[in-house]
Amino acid sequence: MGLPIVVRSALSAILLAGLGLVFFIGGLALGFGSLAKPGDGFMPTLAGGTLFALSSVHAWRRFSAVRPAAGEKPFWPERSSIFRVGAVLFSVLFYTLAFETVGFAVATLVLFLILLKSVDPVGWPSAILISLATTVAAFALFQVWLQVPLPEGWVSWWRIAQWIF
Amino acid sequence: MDLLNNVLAGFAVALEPNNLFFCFIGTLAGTLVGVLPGLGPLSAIAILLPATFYIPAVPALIMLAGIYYGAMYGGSTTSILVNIPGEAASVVTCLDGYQMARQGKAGAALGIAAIGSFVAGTMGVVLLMLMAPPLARIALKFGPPEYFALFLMALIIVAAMGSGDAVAALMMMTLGVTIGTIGTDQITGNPRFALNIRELLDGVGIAPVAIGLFGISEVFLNVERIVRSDLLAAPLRGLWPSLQEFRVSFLPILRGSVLGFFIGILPGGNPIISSFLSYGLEKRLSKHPERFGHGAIEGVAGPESANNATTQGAFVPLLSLGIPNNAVMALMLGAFVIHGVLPGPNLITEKPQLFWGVLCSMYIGNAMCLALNLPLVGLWVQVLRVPYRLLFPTILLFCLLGVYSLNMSTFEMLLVVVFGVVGYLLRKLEYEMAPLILGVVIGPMLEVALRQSLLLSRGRLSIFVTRPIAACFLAVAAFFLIRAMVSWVRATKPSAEESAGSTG
Repeated sequence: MGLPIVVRSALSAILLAGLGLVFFIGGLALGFGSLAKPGDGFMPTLAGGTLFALSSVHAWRRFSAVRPAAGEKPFWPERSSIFRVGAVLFSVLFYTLAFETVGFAVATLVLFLILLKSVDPVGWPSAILISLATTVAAFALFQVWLQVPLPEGWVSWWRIAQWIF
Repeated sequence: MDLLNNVLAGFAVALEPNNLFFCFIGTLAGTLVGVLPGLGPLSAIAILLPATFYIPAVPALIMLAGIYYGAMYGGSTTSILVNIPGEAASVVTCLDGYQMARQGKAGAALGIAAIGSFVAGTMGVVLLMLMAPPLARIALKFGPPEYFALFLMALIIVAAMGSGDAVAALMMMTLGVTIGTIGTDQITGNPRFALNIRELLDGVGIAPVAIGLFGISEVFLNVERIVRSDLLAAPLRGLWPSLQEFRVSFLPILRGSVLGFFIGILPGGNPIISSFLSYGLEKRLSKHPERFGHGAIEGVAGPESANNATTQGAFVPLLSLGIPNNAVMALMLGAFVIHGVLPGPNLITEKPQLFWGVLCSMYIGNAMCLALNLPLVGLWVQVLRVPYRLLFPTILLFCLLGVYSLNMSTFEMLLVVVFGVVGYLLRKLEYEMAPLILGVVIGPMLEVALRQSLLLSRGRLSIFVTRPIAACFLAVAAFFLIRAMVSWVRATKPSAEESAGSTG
């Protein structure tokens, strides 16, 4: 079940208060200026300071309200939720980081295969067919129709598709 | 006469084949996302935002507007037939719409929902045409102090009118404004918090933030559970309501249209609020309120008209003042900016073709929605059978390739993932996303207006209270802020007492 929601909320508020503080100090370092001549750091200082203040109030309020609550929603609705969310996160991170190196075609095929086989698995033939079809469709839409230069990467076999279109 | 000429010119633009095509694509996509649970107009517009970069401004905006109001039509179909609101604004339609369907009156419910939406959409467009130009003329007199006060008022009202904790909503708004300070200072040209990353010099773009917060995070939330629904659609007979049903629905449609439009104009006003308010109003005015929840046609006609009119009303502040009053309008503003167009008082005079073309396309789009939703109702029910496990990889691919196509930057793809995770965690912790995205969009404009005002007044804050319009806006902002704080303090009190009791 993990931490109660008020604690989770309070911890998130502390993180946001920390972020506010970073911007507040960063803004001061950039130069607050004066009211008559606001500097580069004028707005970051104001916004960061306000974020820090509001988040601190929120964290304090959440901590002061901590008590055991019956029937509280768990953070992950199912045991396997963390695996599915993790699989999606891993696959989109892989796609982002490998996109330019391995190229659009390989990255897209792998992204689809991971997602179709891990989250709510479909059979291999369907997974391969859907991955191939979507890769070709996405190529046709972005590269051919919208003229987006997609990275070629390792393989150039997808030039066949370019040739077809 | 001037108005008539402008409207005719607008229709000439909207009826161009290219614009008609994108209007159709927008209404089709809108109906589709309205039908599909787990994909709303906000995510759809966020995902398609980068794609509009490759088409001219007029068809791009026509298409995005079509998605917004098209979703309102699509949402009602599944609410009525399968008791699943495809779109949040259609939740209230489930109450009586599905009951009507169970009584064998699904056709009448769908018919009145579509007709009500069409009437409301038409009334909304007419009111928009009448209200936006005079409002824009007033806004031409605004200087930086008025704009600062207006931006601040919009942000505070959106945060204060949220459904959750007021302090948390204000936190999200401030977080958005803080994120908006990243990038080159618009007044001095110096970099801020760019960390020597070239892409950050232009700031954190609206597209990566919006796609992450609404597109990717939505997928994370949806894959947490595997839900397989066996659809048992209610039987569908004639789509034309009876004369008696028309008569009973006439006033609710009119009331819903007017109420929805004005809710749409207000900062924070959205179709969810207007549909619930309209439902409450109809129930209160009804001679037989006990019928509500058991298949009262007024309970479908009013809310469906209201949610559609709200989408048109929301365009008034955006087109005439340049202020997005909800998250969808913030994305629309992003679309304007992508095309180098700044909505606001000058839009009507500088880009009349765009202004009137987009407005008139809404009328045509509403007719398209009517045609798409009634005859093709069976198709939309079938769409619901597409399993989410096949849908979400495509959504993710669109999100990532969409943002890459803007600047060919994998860094921006990474930003999308980061904001996806941030959005997912924040939504899990029940923070609201609307004030956050509005903060990101309005923040930079707010900063420029504030600093210009201070430069103008040589640092005297009195400039905001000595100018009547700015003072009025600030008074409204203060009212909402105080109201939200009072409710927050009241809500805090019992929990403090309880915790004292539990420890003592």
